[in-house]
Amino acid sequence: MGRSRKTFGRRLFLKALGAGIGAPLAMRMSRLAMAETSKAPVRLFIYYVPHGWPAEHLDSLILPALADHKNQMSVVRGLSMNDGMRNHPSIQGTLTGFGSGMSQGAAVDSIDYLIAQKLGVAAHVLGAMPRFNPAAQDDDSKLVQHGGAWAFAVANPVEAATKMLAQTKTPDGSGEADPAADDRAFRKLALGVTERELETMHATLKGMTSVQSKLSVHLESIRHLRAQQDKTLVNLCTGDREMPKLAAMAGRDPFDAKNFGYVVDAHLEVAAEAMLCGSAQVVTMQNMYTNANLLFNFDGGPGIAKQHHAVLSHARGDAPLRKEFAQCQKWFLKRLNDVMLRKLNQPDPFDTSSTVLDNSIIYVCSEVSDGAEHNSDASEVWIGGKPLATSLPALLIGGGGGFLNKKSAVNVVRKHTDMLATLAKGVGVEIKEMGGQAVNAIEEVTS
Amino acid sequence: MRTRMIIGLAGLTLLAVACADENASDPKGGGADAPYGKNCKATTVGEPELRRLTGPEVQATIEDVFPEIAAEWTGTRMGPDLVAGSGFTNDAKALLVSQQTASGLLDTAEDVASLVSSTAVLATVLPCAASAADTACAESFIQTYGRRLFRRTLTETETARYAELYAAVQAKAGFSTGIKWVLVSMMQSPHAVYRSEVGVVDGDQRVLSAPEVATALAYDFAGTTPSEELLAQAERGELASAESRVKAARALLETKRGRKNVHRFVDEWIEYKHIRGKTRDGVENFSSVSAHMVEETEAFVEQVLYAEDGGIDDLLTAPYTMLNAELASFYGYGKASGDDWTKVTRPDSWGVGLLAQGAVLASHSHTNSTSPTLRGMVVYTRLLCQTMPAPPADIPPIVEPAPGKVTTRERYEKQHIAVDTCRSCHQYSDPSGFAMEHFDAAGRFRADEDGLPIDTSGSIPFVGGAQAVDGQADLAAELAASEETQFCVSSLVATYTYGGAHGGVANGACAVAGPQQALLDGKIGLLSYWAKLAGQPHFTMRRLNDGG
Repeated sequence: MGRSRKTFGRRLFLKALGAGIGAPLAMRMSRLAMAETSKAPVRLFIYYVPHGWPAEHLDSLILPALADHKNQMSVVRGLSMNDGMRNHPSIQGTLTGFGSGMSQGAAVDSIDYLIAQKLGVAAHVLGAMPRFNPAAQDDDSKLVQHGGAWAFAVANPVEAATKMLAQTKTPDGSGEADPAADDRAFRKLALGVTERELETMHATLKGMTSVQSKLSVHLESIRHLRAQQDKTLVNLCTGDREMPKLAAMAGRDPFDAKNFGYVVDAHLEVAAEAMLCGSAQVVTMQNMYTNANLLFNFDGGPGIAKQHHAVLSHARGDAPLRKEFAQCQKWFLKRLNDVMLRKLNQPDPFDTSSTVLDNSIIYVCSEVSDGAEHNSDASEVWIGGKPLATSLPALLIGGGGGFLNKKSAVNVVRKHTDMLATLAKGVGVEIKEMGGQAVNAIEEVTS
Repeated sequence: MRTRMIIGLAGLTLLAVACADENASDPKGGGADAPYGKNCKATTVGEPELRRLTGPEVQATIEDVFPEIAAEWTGTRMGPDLVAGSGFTNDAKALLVSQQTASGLLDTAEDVASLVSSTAVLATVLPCAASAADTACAESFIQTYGRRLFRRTLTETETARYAELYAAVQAKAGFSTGIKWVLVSMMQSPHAVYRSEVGVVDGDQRVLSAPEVATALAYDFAGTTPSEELLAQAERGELASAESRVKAARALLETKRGRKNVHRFVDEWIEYKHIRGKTRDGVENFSSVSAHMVEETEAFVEQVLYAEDGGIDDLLTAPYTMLNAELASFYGYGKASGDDWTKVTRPDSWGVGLLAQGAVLASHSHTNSTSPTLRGMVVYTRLLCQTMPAPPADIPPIVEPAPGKVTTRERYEKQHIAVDTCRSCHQYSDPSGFAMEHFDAAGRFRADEDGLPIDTSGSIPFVGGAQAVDGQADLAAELAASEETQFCVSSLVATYTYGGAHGGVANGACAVAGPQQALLDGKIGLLSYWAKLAGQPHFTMRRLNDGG
C-alpha cells in the first residue's frame, strides 16, 4: 500500500510554527477536539445528499459541479445497500450496518462514530435540516448512531462552530483562552460521581433488562465524556479568521426553509475550517432527510420552485422533472466544491508540502440509488421507457494522505458497508464487521 | 351528547400491512380480541420505567428551581428529542441519554451552575455563602437543591458523596467553585435526569414511592418538577388516594405550565405547527399569518377544554373559532379588533372544530395546493389510530396543479384512487381529505377552486366499514359521534401522559378503561378524563419486571 502515514506530534507542531501558523497558540488546549492521540492527520468528511441521483444526468450535469477537482476524485459505481434495504428507512443503513431485518433501536453504531472512537476524537455531525419540528427527530432523519443511540445533527452553524473550532479568545474578546485545565479536572470529578451513580443504579435494578439497557447507554455516554477530558485540542489557526459564510448566518433561523442555502454554506465552511485547523478530524454533514419536501427556490438555490422529494426525486417518466432533480443534486456538489474543497485546497498546517485535501477523504453518499425507484442496490431500473443502470451514489474526493488512488471511475460489485470499511482504513482504523456482517475495504479505490 | 359505550372494536389495533400487496391482509381486518373497554377483565399496570426528562421538561425544571437566573440563562442546550412510533417526543422507551444528550446536559448544567454560583445569585439562593461560606453551608446547598433536583430527600450517602466532591474542588478553587461543580454533578445525575417510576417491591407488584408519585403528577400534568408543596403533600400521605391525586392533577392542568403541556400534546397529536417557516403560493407574508393561526388554535383549545369543559366531540364540532383582527381579515369573516382573541361563530358551511382550524389545514397542505392525502392521514392515524404502511418503492409524483383546469380532487382521484395499487392504501386517507376541500392550502374557506366546483363527498374509514360524508362539518360530526375516535384520542392522551409506559394505544387500553368509559358516557370533559389518569392503578403501581 502506498499510503504515507504521518505522525502527528511535536515535530509537526514545530513545523507548523515554522510556517508561521498559529505560533503562539498552537499548543492551546480545549476539551472540544482531541488530536493528541491521533496518529494520522487524515480528515474524513461524509456528505449525505438525500434520495439518490438521476444517473442519466450524472456525467453530463451533476459531476461537472466538481470540475475544479476532477483529478482528485473517484466516482464509484456498483455499491449496494446491505441486504437489499429499500426506501426511506435505508437512511438508517447508509452509514451503519443497520439492515431491514433489524428492529428499531438496534444498536448499530455508524462508521463516523466507530472511527472516531478508535482514533479517540469527536465525531461531529452537522445538519442542514429545514425541519417541520426542530424539537423532534423522526425515523426519516436518522443517519448516524453514536454509542447505541441515534444522534442528531447540529442544525445551527454558529453552534457547530462553537463546538468544532477552538476558542481563540476569552469570552470578552480581550485575550487568549484560558487553558481551563482546572475546569477539565473538576468536570472529570463531577462526571466520575455520575459514573458511579449509574453503576450503582444499574446494579440495583436487577430484572429490569430494558431499564438496565437504557442505563448502559447512559453509562457509555458519561464514560466517553469523561475520557474526553484527558484529550487536548490542537488548533493551528490563529488570529481573526475570515468566515464569511458563517457570518452570513447572523440573525437567520437555521430551520427556516428560505435560509437553507446559507445553512449549507456555513456548515461547509465551519467543517472545512475545523479540518484545516486540525480541530476536527471526523465530520458528517447531513443535508435534509429522506422525504424533505423543501422547495428548491430558496436564496442561493438553483431556483426550482418544486419539492425536492415528492415532486422532483420521484419523477420517473418525466424527463424535464428528472433534469431539474439533477440540478438540485448538482447544487449540493457545487456548494461542496465552492465552499469546502476550495478551502481545503491549501497547504496543510500539519504538512505544508501537501494540501489539506490531499490529506482528507470526502465521501459523498445517499440512501437510495434512484429517487423514483427507491432502490438501494446496483441494478437496472426502468426510467422513461428505458433501462438505466443505477447504484448507490458514491464519490471519493481527496487523497486520504496517499491512501486513495483518485482514479476517475471505479466499477465494483460490493456492499456499501465495504465502502464504509474503506473510509475507516483510509484514516488508519480497521473495521472488520458492521451490523453483524464481515466487511472488507475496497482495494480498487486505494493506492 | 356523549352517551355511548366502549364495545369491542375489533379492528382498532395498530396494523401495518403492505397495502400495495394484493395478497396482504386488509388493514381493516385484524385484532379480533382487542382487550379493552368491556373486554377488560381487570385494570392493568405497566412496566417499571425510568423516564428521561425531555428537553422542555429540563427547561421548565431549571426555570422553576432557579428562577433567580431567568434573566441571564439562555436555555437548555439539549438537542431534539426522538419522535417515537406514537408520534410523541416523550416516549419512555425512546428517550435515552446518548453522547450528545449527555454532552448537552453537561453544557446546560455548567451554564446554570456558573450563573447560580456567581456572587450575586449565590447570595440569594444560599444566604450563608455571604456570612459563613463553609462546609456546613455547602451541605445545606446540597440538601436543599439536591431535594429539588432529585425530587426527594437525599440519602446520607448521597449527601456525603457530593460533600466530598465539594471539598475536593473547594480545596483548589474556593467555595463558589465548589458549589458550582456540585451543582453540575447533581444536575446530570441519573437521579435528576430520570423520573423514576420503579417503586419498591410489594408482593407481586411494585408500588411507587410518595416522591415518585409527586414527580409523576408534576411532570405528567404540568411538564415540570414538583413544587416543594406537592412533594410534601405526597410525603405526608395526602396523595395516597385516587381522588386526591385526580384533584391534584386537575389543579396542575389549570396552571400555566399545565396549559402549555396540553398545547404540546395537541401539537404533537395533530401537528398544527407544521406551518412554521413555510410559504403558501399567493399569500403575502404568510409567516405572519401562520404565527397568528398557531395562536388561534391554542386559543380555540383553551376555549373548548378550559372555558367550556368540552370533550373530544366538542373539540371536533365546536361551531366557532377564536379570531384577532388580522385573521378575521385573512379568513374573511368575523369581527375582532387588534390582537385580542374573540370567540367568533363560523359562517354556515364554513367548517367546524379543530379540523377547520387554519393552522391544522395549512399544516397538512403543500405550498401550491391542498393535500387530501395529508389531511386524510390526520383522520386515519391521529383520530382513528390506524397505521399506514410505509409507501412502496415506486411512487410517481403527484402531477402539478393546473388551476382552473383540473381540481385537486381530480388530480388525486386519477393518481391515487383510479389506480388499483395506489388505491389499496389511499382509499383510507384521501376520501376523508376530499371532505375538507373547501379549505385552501392556506387554511381559508373557498367556495370554488379557481372557478371549478368543489366536490366534498368523501368517507371515513371506520373499522366496521366506510362511512359516507359530505363536507368538513359532516366529517367532523361523524368522527365526533364515533366511539372509535373517542377511544383513539383518549388513548393517545393516556399514551402522552404515561409516556407509553402503560402499553400505549395498542396494549394499554385496560389501564385506562374506566376513565375512557366515563368520557364516552358524557359524564366528563377531556381535561377531567386527563386528570383521572392520575387515579388509575398504573399511576402508582407497576409490574415486577420489565419486558426486556
